[in-house]
Amino acid sequence: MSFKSEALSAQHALGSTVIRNTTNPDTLKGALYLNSATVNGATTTYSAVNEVSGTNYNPGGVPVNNSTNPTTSGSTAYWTPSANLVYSNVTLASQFDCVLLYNSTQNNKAVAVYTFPAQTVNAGTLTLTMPTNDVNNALLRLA
Amino acid sequence: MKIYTSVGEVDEELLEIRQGVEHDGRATVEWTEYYLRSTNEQVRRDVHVNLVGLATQAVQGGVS
Repeated sequence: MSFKSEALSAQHALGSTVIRNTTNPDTLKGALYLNSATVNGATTTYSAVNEVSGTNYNPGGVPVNNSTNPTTSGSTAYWTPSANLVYSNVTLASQFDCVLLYNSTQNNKAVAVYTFPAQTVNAGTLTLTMPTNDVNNALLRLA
Repeated sequence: MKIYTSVGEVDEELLEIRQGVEHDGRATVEWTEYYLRSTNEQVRRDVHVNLVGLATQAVQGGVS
């Protein structure tokens, strides 16, 4: 089955309202949120409300390396960014516990939220390490 | 070796390094903290988060 991975690549436009008019890949970004924020599956777009702030952190977060094509194994489509998300030389003094991946090309629409134990960073580097890009571990899986 | 810290570059030998791992059933976090031996002040903290993939049937934070 290829439909799910093709849907991730925007090869299908179902319904009567087609909003895409490009062959260029979208730009995804990763924004960090304070652990006081409510960011979950109901989040529809990126918001600066309760986003982290601090030295060398740019509002909106960092770009996601999006050079890996979605693929399918069995009935599950999956995709993982092709590089880790790295926030270098940052100081984030307030605890944060999630990253929102969103599509900055498509009006900042949310893609997914990933949570982790609350952290701070002090004059250091935050690295969000990507899982193996396979059907059992990929960052985004549509089963 | 010099380490970049909140108080500038510091010789590694002047720093105490502490490391830890946290796991809460979602993702595993590994952190490294650097303290000035002279004052016990934390001057750097690095964090590695090993993200866990989401499937739509097993939502953690959630797929929108």
